[in-house]
Amino acid sequence: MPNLPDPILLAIPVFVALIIAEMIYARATGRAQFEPGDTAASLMMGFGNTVSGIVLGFVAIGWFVFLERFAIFEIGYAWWAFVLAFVLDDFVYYWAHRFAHTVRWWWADHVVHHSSQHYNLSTALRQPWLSPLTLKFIFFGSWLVLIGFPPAMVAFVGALNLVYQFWIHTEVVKTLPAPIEAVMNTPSHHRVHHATNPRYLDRNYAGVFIVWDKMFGTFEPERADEPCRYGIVKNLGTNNPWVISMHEWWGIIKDVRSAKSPSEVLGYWLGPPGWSPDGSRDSSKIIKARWAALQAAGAGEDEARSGDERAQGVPAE
Amino acid sequence: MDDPLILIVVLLVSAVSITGLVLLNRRLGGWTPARLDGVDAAARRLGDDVIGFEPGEGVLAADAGAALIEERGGKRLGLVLARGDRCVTRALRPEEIIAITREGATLTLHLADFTLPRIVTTLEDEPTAARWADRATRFTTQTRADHAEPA
Repeated sequence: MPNLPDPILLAIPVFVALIIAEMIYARATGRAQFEPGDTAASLMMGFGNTVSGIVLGFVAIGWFVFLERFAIFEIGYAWWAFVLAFVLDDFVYYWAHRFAHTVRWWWADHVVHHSSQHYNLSTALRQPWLSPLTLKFIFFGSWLVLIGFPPAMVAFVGALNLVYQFWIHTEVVKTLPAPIEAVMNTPSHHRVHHATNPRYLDRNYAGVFIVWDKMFGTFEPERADEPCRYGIVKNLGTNNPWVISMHEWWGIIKDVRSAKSPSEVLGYWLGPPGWSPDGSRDSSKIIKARWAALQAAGAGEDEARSGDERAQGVPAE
Repeated sequence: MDDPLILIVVLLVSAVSITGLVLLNRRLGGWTPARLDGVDAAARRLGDDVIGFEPGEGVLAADAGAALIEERGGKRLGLVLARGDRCVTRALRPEEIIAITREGATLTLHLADFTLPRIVTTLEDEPTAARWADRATRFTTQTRADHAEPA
């Protein structure tokens, strides 16, 4: 077994250097925005994520060591296996990420990453503290190991995927050449993913290859006439790392305690974020439907107005 | 990261890097604390954040750092807060407001909100604060009564 390096560990000095460069560029050009409280919170979340990975990571390692004996094939460490594992891992990442946005149990963890109203390289490091406890690695991390890719290789390509995703958290890069935008996840595509504009909600789940979103109907391009507004539907208004980390977990506990039936418990726990028994809260689906209705009503009014103007002989613009 | 020594070095370097980056960010500046340009601006912000919110009458804090805006039809009470260089909004339903207290021109809203449990805002003068304390209290009690199930 080759001794694979830890790509994230190696990338940390590059991350720091790029954040410094983006800060200076932001100050000089105004093309990106940093605020110290937000930056501190994002970096503290990243630090806590590293610590929790060390403290809780053994849960996932233990699982993969156990699982390896049930692998269908013995693929080994050939170069093509790394390439294949990287692509398949990105495919699994797409689905894991999609479920992280649509199942509240996993959203409670992932919401941390979306909780900044800024979008800069420090946002990439705003990561949750309790991920291993959500057991997402069992549901989504097991497939490649069961196929027969060595766990160390799966961990390696997974880390490469995360390293790739660091640099796309920026407003500095507008768009890249069309062939790259067509295939790869880029800053433009990922800005859409972090935006709360109804048009952009729950879109562009890709890690490295944006083609998954195009294949599964979740792709939305960034529009020049609709700047991204970053954050979450109900922004937090705090930079306290503990509150950032725990707020959605607390929400689940509170809601489950108030549930009147087992189906309500399930809805609050595993339903989409914003689910409520009477539909009185705002889930992404409800927000998008309300927005679409308002757009349609607005378009109808515009049409009626232009019809009136035509009838009155007002020249069209 | 199996070697404890490497682990300690990584954590120490990370802590030093975080401190350095935040200090650099402070030193460079380039952000402006958020302020609301008036009740209309606050209402627009609420409309952007809460799709379907129909702003009615509103009041701006003396320091332009917060605004309260009633929704037409009285279903929700809009709240816009300046936080850092951004604004945070809430469309509060009656059950989300635990209590409203007033001391002079200062209103305190106690909310059932894990991230914003207590909002303290000073309005222009005492009569304005008294009027809005009454309105907000009426909003919570009346609407709660409307929602109450018949005995």
